[in-house]
Formats: sequence, structure tokens, C-alpha cells
Amino acid sequence: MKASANIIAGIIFIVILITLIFPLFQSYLSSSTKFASSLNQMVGNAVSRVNKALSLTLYPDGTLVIINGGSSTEKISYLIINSSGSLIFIPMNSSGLSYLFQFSPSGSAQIGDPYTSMQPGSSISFKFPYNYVPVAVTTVDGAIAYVHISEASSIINYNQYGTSYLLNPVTFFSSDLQSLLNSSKVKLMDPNLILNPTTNVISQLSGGVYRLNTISYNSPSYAYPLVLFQEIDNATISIRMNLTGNLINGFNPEWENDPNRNNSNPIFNMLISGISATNFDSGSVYFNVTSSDTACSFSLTYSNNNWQVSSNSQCPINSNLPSQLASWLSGKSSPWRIKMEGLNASTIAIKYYTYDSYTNTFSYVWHNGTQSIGKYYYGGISENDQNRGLTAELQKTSLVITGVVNSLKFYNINTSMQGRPSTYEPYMIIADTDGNFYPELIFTTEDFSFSYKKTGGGQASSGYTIADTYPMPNNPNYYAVDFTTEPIEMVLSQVSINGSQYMAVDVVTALYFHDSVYDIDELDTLTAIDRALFSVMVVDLNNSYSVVTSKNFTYQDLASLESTWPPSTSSFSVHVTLPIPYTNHLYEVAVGFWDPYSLDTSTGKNNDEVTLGIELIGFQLYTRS
Amino acid sequence: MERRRGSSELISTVILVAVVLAMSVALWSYAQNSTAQLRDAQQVQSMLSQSSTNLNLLLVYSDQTGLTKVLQVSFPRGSNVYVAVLGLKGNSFLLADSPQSQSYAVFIPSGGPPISLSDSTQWSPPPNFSVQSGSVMVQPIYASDPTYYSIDLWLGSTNLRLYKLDFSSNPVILLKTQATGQYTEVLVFFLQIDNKYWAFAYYYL
Repeated sequence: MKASANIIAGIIFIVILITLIFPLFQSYLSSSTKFASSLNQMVGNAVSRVNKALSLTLYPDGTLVIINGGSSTEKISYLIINSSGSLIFIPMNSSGLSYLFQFSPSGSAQIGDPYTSMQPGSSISFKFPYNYVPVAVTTVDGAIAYVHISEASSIINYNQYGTSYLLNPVTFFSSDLQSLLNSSKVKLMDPNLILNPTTNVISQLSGGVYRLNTISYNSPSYAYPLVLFQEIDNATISIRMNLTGNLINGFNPEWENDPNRNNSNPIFNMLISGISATNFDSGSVYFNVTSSDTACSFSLTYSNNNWQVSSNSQCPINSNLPSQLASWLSGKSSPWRIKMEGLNASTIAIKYYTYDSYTNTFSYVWHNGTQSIGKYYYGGISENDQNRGLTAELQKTSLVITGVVNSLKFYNINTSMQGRPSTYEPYMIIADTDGNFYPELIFTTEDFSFSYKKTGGGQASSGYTIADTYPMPNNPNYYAVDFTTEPIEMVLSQVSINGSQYMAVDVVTALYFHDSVYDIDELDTLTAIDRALFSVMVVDLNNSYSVVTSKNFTYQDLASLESTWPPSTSSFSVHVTLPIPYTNHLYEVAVGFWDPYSLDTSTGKNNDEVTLGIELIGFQLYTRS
Repeated sequence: MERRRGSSELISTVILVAVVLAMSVALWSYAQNSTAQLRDAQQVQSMLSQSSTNLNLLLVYSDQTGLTKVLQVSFPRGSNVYVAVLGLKGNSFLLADSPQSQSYAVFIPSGGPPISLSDSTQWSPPPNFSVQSGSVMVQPIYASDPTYYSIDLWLGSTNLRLYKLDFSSNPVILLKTQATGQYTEVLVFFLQIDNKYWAFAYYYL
């Protein structure tokens, strides 16, 4: 019995022992399984883990190519874009597809749900306009891949101080303003400014080119817009007339850019602005147009000091075009413009008052065929002020054309749209007017007459005549005083300049400049000589394209470089070095031009009409050492 | 006399056996209960650990002050995660994003695409609600103690604002956070388990 009592006591002891030990064991088990939370420091920082399998390359034309160069499938969740300085996030799935669609997605990878899967080796690309700069994509597994900018450049020099790049210059080998100025190399800050000036477009404009219909006021509210009255395509034309006005004629860019062109059969682009046209001393005068494309065919003839419609097949859209054109050419309406693009002329001849620098003589001679290119100002304008020694008597510019033209545009003001601006389109043409086989992008507000100080007072205030005004016998005076309120700003987007890599950019521009201020008392006629007409700028892509450095070329700068000998074929170049801020922002070079001069109505001064031609823009980068 | 002594020993033995049996049963029951609790705790810890592993946080944008950030949160589809913004001072938690406040600290896209960072109308708070501090379990993140405690240990009995991140259809959510800069703020991710919200990841804002 005693033994059994001992056994029982032993069992009780063991149970008590286990009872005591078990919680300790449990506590040990518990503490040993408290996983990673037993770190002293459990708070982390969100970081940007970089994905190196994805390569994102942005090409100068705005094309972003994303390639999965890794060995695993990558799941893209968001595309991040810098849109005029503000970041935007686009889901790379069906919810973002409608937005992404505008950027023309293509490639072997497809946008899917809930993310875009990219197999190894697959790619996807987008085409972004200038104001959208892709920045990065994120992946579902929490990584980010940044965009690499591809430079459209050739390395020409490399040494211990860095790398020099020779960048493709911006040239203008297209007649089509819209395709050229929204191309891979050039983007417009305001693309609306080069649209055809239809009434619809004009009603949407925030600024542009205003044409005063008076010299009593200089406010846009007294302006009428120059509108596209009608365009006729693929027309056979025959024109023979004496022009009172301006004429710019140059080789067609597409023809010059064709290596197989027939040099003996040049194609031309021409801009005519004027107030009237009259007869030759002898022979018939006519303006004939026949177009099968627009079912438009008419003939105008000149007799009894007037143009008349001799035949008319009722042109569509504006069936009264022939009678309107007859009225314009007769000088019975407002000043007009005619633009021809792609003129394949069997005959082209321009007779003009011409300077020969070798003999220092002027003569009134014909310029035929390939010699017809040039800028012919103020034909038919005569000013003679013996008291001031001013003699400017220009005979009318004779024009003879027979040929086929791709596009023939007629412009005149729309008096029902008072206070509205026009686009730059009627004021611009791309043509090689100096025959060096580099077409110029030409902007001109000069129409038919120049400004100067006149003894005893003229038609304007205080003895100052106003450019592009003309007294019409038996008609209201002609006014075409153009000025702009918003410049054309072209961003040269072929390469984005990273401020952390480059310290400066050299910009070289080949220019042509002409203006309406006559060369006697120029600085008396135009006193506000510090207004900029042409600017070279560096803009910040990461800050809404704001201008960070610039050089403005004022009237004072450009007037000394003006080419005045008719029909001028000379140009000059300006060289600007612009520093790049030392940041990680992306920058691009931009150029802008405009006509800031209307007139001072109280004095008649500061009226100027200008012609600015840009032939070539080149630039070179300086690396940071 | 001999019979009485024998009977007394028998009774004593029976009592001892009964005591032993009772203690054994009690011990078994206690062991069973403790093991169950341990298993539950391990399950919770396992879920939290897995959530912590599954969570991917990517810093996408930070402004110059560092107060405004855009984070990409990735989590397996079909789950819900809750976040709160808590303040830290010393070793103590602070209430940084009161449910009574009209200003929010966390936003998700509500417009687009595209979602513009600078357009405040395209960002709105995720679905959010108020919870009692007693049901929010956190760890004393600056101490070596890994044990979970109810946050009312630091905040007292109060309410917190929790934001619900719904990953039911998309494994990725873009999150814009707005810190006040008044004190150290942390973005805490929670999992809901048995009517309690358990923290499983902590990030500085």
C-alpha cells in the first residue's frame, strides 16, 4: 500500500511539474513563431525600384517604343506622361485604351486587362505629339522603367571633354504648312495658326493676324480677317496681267527634294498680293482657270479699265468667284491674295524693276523661266517727293503664266467677321526664292505699298504715309495694315536636350528680312525699333514649355541686315548661343516670328509690314564637362 | 481494527486517484485550449506575413516638399486591404487622420483616363469608415516587442479612419497621399481578421 501511495504521489508531482512547464513551453513556441515582425525597425520607405528588362526609347518624331528585353513576362500597369508640365497617368488596360488610341498604339504586344502583358521580346509603340512627353511605365510587381531619349544626331567628335553632336538641321522641303509644321522635326505651339482660314477656323482662334480696314484705329476690333474664299485644285491656268502689288515666286519644295527632277521644267510656288491688275501696253490680258477636280472653269478678260467675266461654269461653293475675282482685279474691292502651289508652268515670265549690282543700274526687264524666282515688291507704286529727294516710281509687275497648278487659293477679307483674326496661312508660303535649293518658310504681311515720311503730309497723319494703304480713284481707299497678336512658335522637336547633360546650344538660322519702311528717314518713320520680330528660344518641356533662355531679334537688329535690292536673292544668318539650365529637365529649341507693328494712329509712325524668310535652322550642343 | 485501517487506505487511494484524474483532465483541457489559441495566432501571423510579402509598394511621384506622393500599390486580386495614416512621436502612435476631419490623407483616381496629377477633381478619397481603436491591432514599431496590441494602448479609446482598397478587379491601385508634415506620418496597411484590423506593413509618408 505504501508503495502505491508513493507512485500516486510521484504522478501528482509529475502532473504539477508538467502544469508548470507547459505554459513556459507554449510561450517559447509562441515567441519563436513571431516571424518577421520581430524586427526592431518595421517602418519602411516606399522606393522606386527600377525595372531593367523594359527599354523605353523616345525617338525624335515622338514615337515611344517599349520593348521587353528580359526573359520574363512583364506586366505593365501605368504609362506616365508629362503633358505640358503636368504628370498624367494612363492605365495600360481597357479603361485607358480609348485615351491611348489617339497615340496610335502598335506592336506585337496588345493592351489587355487588367494590365498589359509583354512577353519577352515583344514590343509596343505609341506616337506622341510634341506636348506629350512620355516619362515612364510602372509594372504590377512594383517597379518603374524610365524613358530613354534617342538623339537624332551623329557623333562627330569625342574626346576627354565630352561629345559633340552634329544635328540634322531643320529645313522646309514641303509646300504643305500643316504637315511640315507638325512633323517629326517641327511642332507648333498653336497648330491652329496655320490652318486654312475658313470661317469655322477663324471663329475658334484666340489670336492671329489682324488686317485693319482703317488707319483711324489700331485695335483688333477694327480689323477684318483674311479668309479663304475658294480653293481650286488641279487647274489649268493662263494669266497675263500687270500687277499693282507684291509677288513672291520660288521653286516648289517637293520638286527640289526630288532627285529625279527635270531641271529644265521647274515647278513653282507663288504668292500674289495686290490691289489691282491692268492691261499690258499691247496684247490681250486675261485670267483663265479650268479645273476638272472642282468643276470650276472661268475666263476673265480686261477691257475699258475693268475686268469682266467672259465665261463661267458656275464654280461650286462660291459660284460668284469669277465675278468677285473680276471685281478684285479691277480694284473695286478690298485687297486680295492669291496663292499657287505646285505650278508646272510651260510659260512663266515676270517683268520687274531690277537692280544690277555689277553695273549699279536699274532696268525694267523680264525674268523668264528659272530666272523668274524672287520677291517682287511694290509693283505699280509711285512716290515722288522732290523736296525730300525721294523718288520711287515702280512700274507694274508684269506677269505671264501658262501651266497647271496643284492648288490655287483665293483670299479676301470677310466683312461679316469684324474684330476676328485670320491665321498665318494666307501670309505664308514655302518656296525657294533664291534658287539655292533650300526652300524658305516665308511669312509676309507686305501687300502692295511702303511707308515713308512725306513732305507736307500725305494721306496719313503728320505727313507719314502708311504701308499697305492706297488711294483708289472713285473708290474708298485701300487698307491692308496687317499685324499679329500671337506669334508662330515652332518647337524644333528633333532632339530633347537634357539639362543635366548639356550646358548650351548653338542655333544658327539662315534668314531673309524685308520690310515696308522706305530707306529715307527709316528711324523717323519707325521709332519703336525694339520690338521683336524673330526669337530663338530654349523651352522647358517639364514646365509647360516655358521659355528659359532666348534671344529676340528686334527691328533694330534685322533692319541692318535687310535685303532691299530687287528681286533679292540674298539671305543672312544669325548665330545664337543659349545656355541650358543645369537641371534634369528636358529642353527644346524653339523659334518664333510675328509682325508686332500696326500703326500709331495719332502720329502715323510705327507702321510696318514685314517679310521674314527662314531657310535653315541648325543647332549644336555643348556637353557638360 | 485491521479491516477499518484497510478501508481507510482504500478511500485515501480512491481520493488520490480521483485527484490525479481530475488534474489530468484539467491539464489536458488546458493544453488543448492553449494549442488552439496558438494555432489561431499562428494562422493570423501567417496571413499577415503572407500579406506583407504580397504587398508591393512603388514610389511613382514625390513633390519637392515630399508631402505629396503618388504610390502604386499592388496586391493579389480578389482581396481587400485597409490603410490608415498614423502619426508617430517617440515610441507612441498619434491620431493623424481623424474621421471627424474633412480633409483626407489618401486619394485614388476618380476620373480619367488620363489621370492628371495636378487636377484635384480627378482624385477622391477611397471608401472610408470609422473604427474603434480597440479593434485595431498594431505592433509597437520602434520596440523589439513583436506582439500585437490594440492601438488604444497609445490612443486611448477613440475612432480611427480606415480607407478600403478594393483589389477585386485590378491588382494595382494608384494612391495619392497627402502628409501634413506636422509629425512623422506612416501609411499602415491592415488586414481584416475576425472583426479586427491587423497591421501588416508600415511605410513612411
